[in-house]
Amino acid sequence: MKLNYEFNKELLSITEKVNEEDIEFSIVFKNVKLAEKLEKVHQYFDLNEIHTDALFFTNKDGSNQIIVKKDFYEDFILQLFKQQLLERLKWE
Amino acid sequence: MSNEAALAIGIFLIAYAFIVTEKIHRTIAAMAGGLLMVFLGIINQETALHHIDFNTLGLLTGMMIIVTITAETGLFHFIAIWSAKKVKGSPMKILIALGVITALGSALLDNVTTVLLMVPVTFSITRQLKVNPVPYLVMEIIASNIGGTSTMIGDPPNIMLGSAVKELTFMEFIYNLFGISFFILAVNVAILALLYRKQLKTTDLLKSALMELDESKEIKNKPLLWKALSVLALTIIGFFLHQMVHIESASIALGGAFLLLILSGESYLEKALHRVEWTTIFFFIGLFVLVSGLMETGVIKKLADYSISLTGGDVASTSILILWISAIASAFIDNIPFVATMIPMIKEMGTMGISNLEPLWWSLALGACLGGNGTLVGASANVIVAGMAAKEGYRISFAKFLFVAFPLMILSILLSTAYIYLRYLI
Repeated sequence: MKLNYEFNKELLSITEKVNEEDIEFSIVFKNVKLAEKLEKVHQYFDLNEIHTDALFFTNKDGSNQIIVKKDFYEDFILQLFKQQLLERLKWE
Repeated sequence: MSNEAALAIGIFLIAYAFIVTEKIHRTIAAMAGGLLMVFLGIINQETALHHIDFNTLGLLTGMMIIVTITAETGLFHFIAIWSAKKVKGSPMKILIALGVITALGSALLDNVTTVLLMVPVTFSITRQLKVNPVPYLVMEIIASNIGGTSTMIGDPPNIMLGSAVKELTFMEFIYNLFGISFFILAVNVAILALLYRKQLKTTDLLKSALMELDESKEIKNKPLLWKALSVLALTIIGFFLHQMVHIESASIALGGAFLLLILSGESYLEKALHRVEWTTIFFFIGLFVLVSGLMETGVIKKLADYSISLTGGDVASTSILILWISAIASAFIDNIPFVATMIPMIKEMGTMGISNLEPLWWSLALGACLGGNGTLVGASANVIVAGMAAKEGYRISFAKFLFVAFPLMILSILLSTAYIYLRYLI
């Protein structure tokens, strides 16, 4: 079973790719205010005691790169959903 | 030997055994031992309090508060990404850069706090480049202990020395230890870079991805950053001037910490105090009381007598003996209790005819701080890095670390021996 998600393509774009033990996300916001919501996701992962669960970077073009360990994929998706960056989640 | 002295030695050795074997937490062992000294009447509470060095405790607490608030700004992530980009994402050059940053951070803050800040940043960069973080973590352990050797606030043994001996000011540490420490660092960094060169490979694609990062976005709170940097600079200037203005280093560190709390607002108070390592602070308190039991019963005086009889009171042989014993002991046991025991012993030697104690103090500082690099349990920074790495699934084994670090430690002590001899003994 995989956790599938949907988001508002008019407000942001999310792409993901598998890279060895990680899933790498690229998130681009068309509305700057949404970046604050991603910062809250960042803070959530900063507050726990695991340093390598999700690593957040910002690129020069403003896109956000997040390297997520496979074990924390669902956690990350759920946090995006909690911050309303995703509209729908479904196990398929 | 009096019954009280025998009892004090017994309590001290049992507490020490628990600290070394880690059968129970070292803070509990030290505090229980210290309290037993009081409960059994070896020392009274007033004497025990008199022996607690509040300068050491205040200095550590103040610096921990300043660094905790500074870390909130994202400064350390910024420095790491900025330096990785400066060397164009080359894994080998990043290894060297992180080593130098860790050493400088350890010299200006303290090495335990520095590694706590550097390890998460290291995971970020090595993950980005898909390289094994272990060589970087080993480099940071070694650089933190060497960098910490170079200043009075860099490593707990130096903090204790600077507090216990009035003549050993912040400037004296810089004047006597900074140069040799950074020379030893250069030798260690070069050898480690050579040793790990084959493991440090990445792809051009990953390097160019790293070059696309915007490090300025790592700074989360610019107003707080400026406040923290200003206070940090003031505090360091204060350390340089503390002897001239007749203010103890703890007052300067605590002054800086609470000035920063005034500037940053009370929302940071709880978090900053929560992150102070109270276990380390209470470990020190227990140790000071434990050692005071030995001092008050004359045991330390007897040990000093014995050491002088071994070397015939000769400054040169006593210095070299202290350097090597400190290094070997600190490689296998925590250097903090060792230094806590050695300080009163060396002071006692001063009353027994050794008029020039200076080479002895620097030998103790170099031996205890650099000796910590010998094994994975030799210093607090080593244990912290290994623990953090293990939690993330990267095991630094005791044997593998020993194989790399012990010869480096011996080399560092050989260089220190030459330095002590050439600078102070001829």
